[in-house]
Amino acid sequence: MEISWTGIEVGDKDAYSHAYRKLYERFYNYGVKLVEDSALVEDVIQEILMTLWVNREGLRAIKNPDGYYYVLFRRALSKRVAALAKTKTIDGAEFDPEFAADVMMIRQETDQALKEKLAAAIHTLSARQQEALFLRFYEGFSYEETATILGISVKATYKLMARSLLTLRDKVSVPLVYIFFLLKENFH
Amino acid sequence: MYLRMKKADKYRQYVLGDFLCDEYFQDWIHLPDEEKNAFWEQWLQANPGKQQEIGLAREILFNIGFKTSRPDPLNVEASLNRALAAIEECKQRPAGPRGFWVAAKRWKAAAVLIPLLLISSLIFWRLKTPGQYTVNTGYGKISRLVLPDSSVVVLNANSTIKYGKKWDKNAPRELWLNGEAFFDVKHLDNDHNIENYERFIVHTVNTTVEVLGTSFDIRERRGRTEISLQKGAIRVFLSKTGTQPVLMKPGDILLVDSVSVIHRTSNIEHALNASSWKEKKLVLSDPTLSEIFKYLEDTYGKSFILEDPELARKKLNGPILIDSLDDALFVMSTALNISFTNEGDQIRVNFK
Repeated sequence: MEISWTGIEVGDKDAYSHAYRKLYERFYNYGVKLVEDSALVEDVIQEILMTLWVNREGLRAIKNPDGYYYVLFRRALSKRVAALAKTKTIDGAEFDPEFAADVMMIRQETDQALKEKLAAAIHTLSARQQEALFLRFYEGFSYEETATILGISVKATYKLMARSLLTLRDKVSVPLVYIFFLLKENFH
Repeated sequence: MYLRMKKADKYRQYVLGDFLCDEYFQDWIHLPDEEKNAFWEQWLQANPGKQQEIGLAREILFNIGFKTSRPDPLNVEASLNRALAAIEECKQRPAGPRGFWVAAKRWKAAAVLIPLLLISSLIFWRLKTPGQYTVNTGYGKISRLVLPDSSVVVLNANSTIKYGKKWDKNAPRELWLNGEAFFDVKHLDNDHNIENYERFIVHTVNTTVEVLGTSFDIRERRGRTEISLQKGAIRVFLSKTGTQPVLMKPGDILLVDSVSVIHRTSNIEHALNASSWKEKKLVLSDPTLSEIFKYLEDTYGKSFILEDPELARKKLNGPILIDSLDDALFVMSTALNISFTNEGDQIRVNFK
């Protein structure tokens, strides 16, 4: 998603409004996958986007505002959920938002057999794995960025991603003849 | 080049799982560009034996998708407006970031109470008098409000509308307008017996317009008021005379000042065109350039200076897109072969 940050740092309200709408949509799409309560998500979005204005002059110093504000949003959302959980449960256990299980899907109208296998495979992935795939393949973040957003090391991110992808590979054990056929169809 | 060769070399050892987990390969599938396409096409030509693995890896990565959830656009706009209002309030009472957060919190609380949904790109809410809402639009901006009775008002650029926060069950619905707005009024009357609360009244400097369920455009600029009725019926009272009100029928276009009727015509098409600004179009009937410039001056707050008096009489038919001032000027400059020179708040107009 293309977000233009220029102009905000000098207090251009049109630029801010433009980015506001884009980021709102982007954070909403991510936030409701982590937390069911969309009102809570939207509340946190507003908070973060106001922070963006308050700290607008600091934008110059931020090399990657896209990733930076994504991280801020993820953390603010976790903090809010944790605070809510504390008031509800007695043991005050650590509570982290979890990526919803039903948001991942098979995109292409490819071969039905492959599609079914992939669809079955994604259900075996953990919430964490799915979130990593979302950040990398839907949002287009790099491994480094994905690591920061998830709050884990880059090495752990590589492992997490590799485990998810190899699970998909294993579940899609297709006879070689079939692969050959598929390639003829889809690859020129 | 060396790096690319090294990369090409490395990939020769790869099998399906390696390709799947390779960052550069993933980028090719999800963020393809010419550079990556060229690299992989070349590589495949050099390594035809890897086609199967690459093809399946490609297929798997390509199929990883996620549902997209979109927020209610009304929520987005309402949130943006709260943020902008907090910014405005903070500017008036400079108190550093802390003042901003206090303002932001107050606006959040206010937002719960505001029974209005509001669509606009830049609009600032300010509670001037305790019992009233005031909505302003800046130059070049349009905003749409839904009133407590679910009537709709679309407010054109450089205009203000005020109305009471609480709409009394026994009092008429009343609004005060400066500038131009289009009204689509919710019809409350079911028995032809007009109760007080069923009345809908719009006050402007020159007129008071009383309405039953209906749609109409009021344009008050430069001391004159033009009212175009599209549906239903309205009564127009001139504010400085006690004369009988003018009863308008659909298609009527009434031009008045505060004491008298200047012009009255009836043409349903023209009456409908009067609110074409809602669709970001300007449709005037057989307009001269000087009329168009007046409209643009009122909407965008710039003044036009004609270098040649001949220009004022030139005509331009057909709708003009007024999504932005630049768009409008571009259309006119190509259609009429004239040129515009921007000088701050003034725009000079000349033949090319």
